[in-house]
Amino acid sequence: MAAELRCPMCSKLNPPGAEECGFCGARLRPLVVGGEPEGSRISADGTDDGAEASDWLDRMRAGSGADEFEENAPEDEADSAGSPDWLGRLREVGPSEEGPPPGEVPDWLGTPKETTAEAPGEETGGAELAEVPDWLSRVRDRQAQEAEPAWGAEPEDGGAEGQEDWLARIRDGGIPANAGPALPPLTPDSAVEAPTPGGRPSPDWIERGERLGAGDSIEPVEDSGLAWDIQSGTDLGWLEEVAPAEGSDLAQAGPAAPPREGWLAELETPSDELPEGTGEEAKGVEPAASWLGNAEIAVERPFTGEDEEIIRPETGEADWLKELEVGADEPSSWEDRGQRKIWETAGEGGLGWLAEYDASVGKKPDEAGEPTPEGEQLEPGWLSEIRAPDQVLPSEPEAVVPAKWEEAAQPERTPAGELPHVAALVFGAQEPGGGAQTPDIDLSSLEVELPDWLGEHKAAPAGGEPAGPGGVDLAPATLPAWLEAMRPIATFRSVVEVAEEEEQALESAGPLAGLRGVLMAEPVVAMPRAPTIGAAKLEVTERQYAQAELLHKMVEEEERELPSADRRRLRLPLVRWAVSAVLLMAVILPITLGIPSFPLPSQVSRDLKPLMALVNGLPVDRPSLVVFDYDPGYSGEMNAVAGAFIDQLMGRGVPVVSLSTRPYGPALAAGLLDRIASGRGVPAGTGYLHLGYLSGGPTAVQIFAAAPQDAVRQGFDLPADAEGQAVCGGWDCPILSNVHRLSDFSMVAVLSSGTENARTWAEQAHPYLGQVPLVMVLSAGAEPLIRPYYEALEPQVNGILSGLPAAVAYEQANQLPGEAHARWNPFGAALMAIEFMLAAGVVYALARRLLRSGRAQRG
Amino acid sequence: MKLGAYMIWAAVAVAAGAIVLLGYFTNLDVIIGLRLVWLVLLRWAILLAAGGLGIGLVNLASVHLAKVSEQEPGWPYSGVLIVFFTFTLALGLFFGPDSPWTLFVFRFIHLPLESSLMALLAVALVVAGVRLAGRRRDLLSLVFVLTAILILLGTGPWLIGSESVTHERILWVRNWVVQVAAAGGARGILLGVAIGGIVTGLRVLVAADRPYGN
Repeated sequence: MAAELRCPMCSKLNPPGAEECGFCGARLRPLVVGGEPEGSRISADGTDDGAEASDWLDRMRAGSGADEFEENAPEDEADSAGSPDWLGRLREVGPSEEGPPPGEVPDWLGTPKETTAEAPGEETGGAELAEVPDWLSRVRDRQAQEAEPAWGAEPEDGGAEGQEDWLARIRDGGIPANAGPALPPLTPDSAVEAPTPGGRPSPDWIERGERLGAGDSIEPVEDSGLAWDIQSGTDLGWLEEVAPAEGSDLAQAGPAAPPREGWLAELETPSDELPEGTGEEAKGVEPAASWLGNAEIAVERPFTGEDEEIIRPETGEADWLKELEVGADEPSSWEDRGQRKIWETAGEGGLGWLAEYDASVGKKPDEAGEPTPEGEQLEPGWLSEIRAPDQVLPSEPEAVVPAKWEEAAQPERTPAGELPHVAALVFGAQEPGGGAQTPDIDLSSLEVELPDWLGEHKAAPAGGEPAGPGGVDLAPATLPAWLEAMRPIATFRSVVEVAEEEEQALESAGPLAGLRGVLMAEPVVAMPRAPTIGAAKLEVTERQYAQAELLHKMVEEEERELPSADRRRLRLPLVRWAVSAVLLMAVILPITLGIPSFPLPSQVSRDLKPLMALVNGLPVDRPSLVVFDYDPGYSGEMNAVAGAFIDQLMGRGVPVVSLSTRPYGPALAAGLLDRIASGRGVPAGTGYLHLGYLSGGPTAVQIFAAAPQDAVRQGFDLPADAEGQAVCGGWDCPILSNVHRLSDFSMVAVLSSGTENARTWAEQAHPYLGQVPLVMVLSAGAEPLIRPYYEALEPQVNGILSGLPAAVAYEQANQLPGEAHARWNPFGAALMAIEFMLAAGVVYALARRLLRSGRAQRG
Repeated sequence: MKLGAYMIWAAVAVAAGAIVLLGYFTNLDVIIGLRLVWLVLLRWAILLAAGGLGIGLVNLASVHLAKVSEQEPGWPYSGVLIVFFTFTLALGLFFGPDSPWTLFVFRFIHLPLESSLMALLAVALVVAGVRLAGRRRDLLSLVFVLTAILILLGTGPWLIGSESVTHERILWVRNWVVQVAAAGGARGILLGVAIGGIVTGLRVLVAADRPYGN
C-alpha cells in the first residue's frame, strides 16, 4: 500500500518512492551499510534473521500502519505545520554541514514503499555501497586524512572535526570497544529465547544502529547473530545527513555524537540539565524526533498482547497514553502512531531494557530516579562518551533510551503470528565497561527546546520532589478558619522535618543498639520538651510596664553598692553648743544671779480652784493615798508640782500614804515625803507612810483597788525607833488602821509623768473608789491625754494639776511658796531662751529661702 | 474545729477572762466563792508578771555576758552593765530595797542620770526645732514650729507684759490648743486604744485568739 513518506527530519510528507525529502533534502530511506545480501546473516541460533525481520516488518507495514498513514494523512499534514521548533532547527543546517545535496535521497529513504512493504534488509544490500553520494565521499576522504585521537579522548573543540573523526572511525572500523554505544544487555538468553522465525536477516539500518549501540559490547551482538560489519566501509549516509552543522550546538558535541545520528544526539542533549532520576523521561522523549517520541512511549512497559491492541490506530489514543500527563493529545498524529509502530517493533525485538526504562518513566519517580547499579550498567558506552566526566549518569533509562532503535533488530526473532516478544533484561549480563569511558562533552550545548508537552513532563519531576501520588498536582491544603484560630501561634509546623540519618540519635541500648533513627519506645508526648504555648507573648500595658520599670529601678537602687562615704569634714556642732550654752545660761543665771526675774502668775487657773477646794475638804482622819508613778527623769518637774500638792496636804494634817507601781517610785516618794515631812515636822508612821512597790501593773492596781492589804504586804522605809527597829510593819501602822479597801482612803492622788499609769489608775481603780476623789498631778506633757478623764460629764478624775506654772499658781494661791517658786525664774528664762532660739531658727530659714529665691530670680 | 487538748486551755482562758471581766460589772461578793477565784486569778497574774520580770533580768544578764565573753563590738558597755547590775542586785538582796545604800545609789546615781538624759532631751529638742524650719521648708514644718513657740509663750512667764492683753490672748490660744485641739486628738487616740482593747479581749474571751497556743 503506497503511502506518503514523512521526512524524519522535517516531518514533511513526501510522495511515495521519494528517497530524499523534497523540503529539507534529508534521506527518507536509510542507507544500508554493508550491503549484506538478504538472508546472508544468520542469527546466533542459526535462524535467518532476515526472514524474521521481514515478518514483523511485513506485519507492521501490511497492517494498520500503511492504512493508518493514509487515513490520517490530511490530519497529519495539519499537524506537521505545527511541528515544534526544535524540529525546524534541525532543518536549519549550516553551510558547513556536509549533508546530501538537495535532491539526493538515500536509498533507504528513497524506497519508502518497499521499505514498508519489505524487510529493510532486503533494500539495503551491498549494492548501496556503490551508491555512496559524492558529498559523503568527500567527507570520508577528509576524515581519512585527519589523524584522530583515540576514541574517548576529549576534543579540544567540538564541531566538524570531531564529527569527522567518528565518521572516520566508523568507516575504518576503528571504533574502540569502549567507545561505541553500549548495546542493551542482550544476553545469550535473550537472544536465544527470541529466535527469529525464518531466519531472515534484519534490516541493515537496524543492524547498523544496533551495532552502533553495541559499542564495546560488539561481541555479544555478534554472538547473538546480529551481525553488522562495521568495518565494511559502508557509511551512514543518512546519518551524516543529519550530522550537526559545524558550529552549531550539535556540532559542539564532538566525537561523542558520531555513534548516534543527529536526531539521536538531540535526544541526549538535555541530559545534563535534568536532575537525576527525573529527567530520564524527558531525555528519552525530548531528543527524539516527533516520530520517535511516541515510539518510545510504546515500549513504556513490557510488550504484551494487550499492547498490540492498544497501539492500533483504530483504537485511537491508547489508555496508557492518557495516563501520561504529557502528550496525551500529541501522539494523535498519524506519523506518531506510525513511528510508534516502529518502536513497537523495537519492543518486539526484545528491548526489554527499553521497556523497563520507559516503565520507569511512567511510574514512580523514585524508581526511575534512583540510579541503581543495574541502571549504570545499562548505560550504553556511546552515551557515556558524550557525557561529561563530571556528570554522573543519573539513571538507567538515560542510558537505555538511545538504544531503542538499535533494538529494532530483535523483532526478527519474533515468531510469525505471535506477539512480539520482549527480551528479558538481564542487567548483570551487560557489559561492565559499557559506560566506563565517557567523553567530556558539554551536553548543555546540545539542549534543544522541548515541546510544551514534553516540557511539562520534564518540569514536573525536575524539582527533585515527587509530585505526589499519581503525579497529581494538588492544591496546597488549607485549614478551616476555626481550626486556624485554634492553632498555636508560631508553633505549628506544617512540615515534619525528618533529620538526616547521621543526625538521628544512635540507639545505645537494647537489641537495636547501634542503629540510627530507631523509633522511640516512649510516646512523644511523654518526652520532656520546651513549652511552646507558654512562649506566647505577654500583653503588658503601658502602666504595667511603667510599674515594672519602677520596681526594677527600685531593686537596682537597693542592690547598688553605695560608694564609701567620704570622710566628712570635721564640723563642730556649733548649733548644739550654742543651744546648750544658751539653755545653761538661762538656767544658771536666774539661780545664781537671780536674773532675769519673772513675775509670778497673777491669775489662778480654773482647774486649780476645784483642786484646792478638794484638798481643803479632805478629812484628816483618813489617810490620802499618793501614788508616785513618775520617772526619775521627770523628778525635777514633778517634785516641784507634787511638792506643792503634798505640802498642802501635810499642811492641813492629812496623813499621806505613798505607793508606787514603779520600782524606783518608793525611793522617789521617800525622798519627797521625807523632805516635806521634815519641813512640816510630820512624823513618819503617823503622818505619812510608804507602802512601797506594787508590782503587777494594771492587774496589781486592780487587786490593790479591790483588796489593798492583799496587794501590798510590806511597807517601804518604815519608821524606826531610836534603835533602828521598825515601829510598825505597814498595814498594822496606826495610819492604816482603818483602811481595808481603796475607798477607805480619803483621796487617791496619782503623781504621773506619763499617760499610761494615769490611765491605769483612772480605769482600774475608779470602780473601787466610790466617793473617794481621784486627783491627777501630772507633767505638762501628760495633761492633754488625761484631761479627757477630767472634763468628761462623769469625770473619772476629780482634780488635775499639771506643770510648773500651775504648781507656782497653786503655791501662790495657798500662800505656800515652795520648790515651784524656786524654779520659776530658771523655768521662765529657759522657756524664753527656747522661744528665741526657735524664732531665730524660723527667721533664719525664711531669710535664707528669700535670699536664695532672690538669687535665683537675679540669676 | 478539731477536738483536742487545746480546748481545755481555751476553756480555762475563757473562764478566767469572764470571771475577771465580771468583776467590773457585778459585785462579786454576792456570788459566794467567785470573788476568791477572781482574786486568786489576779494574784497568779501578778506572780507570772514578777516571774516574767525575773526572766527578763536573767535574759538581759546572759545577753551582755555573751557579748563580754565573745568580745563583740561594744562589749565594754556590756561589762559595765553587768557590773552595776550585779552590784545593785546584791545591794537589794542583801540590804533590802529601802536600805540607805540602795537609796544612796538611787539618789546619787540613778536619779541624776535620768534627769541629765531629760536635760539632754530638752537641748536636742531645741536644736531640732531650730533646724526644722531650715531643713524642711514646708508649711507644716513652719506651722509646727510656730505652734511650739505659741505654747511656750503661753506656758512660760514673760519678762514684761505678763498682765498685758497680748499675754492674755496668747494664754488663751495656748489653753485652746492644749485643751481643745490636743485633747481632741488625745481622745481619738484613747478611743482607738479602748476599741482595740475591747476587740482583743473579746477575741480572747471567745477563743478566737488563742495566744496560749492550740
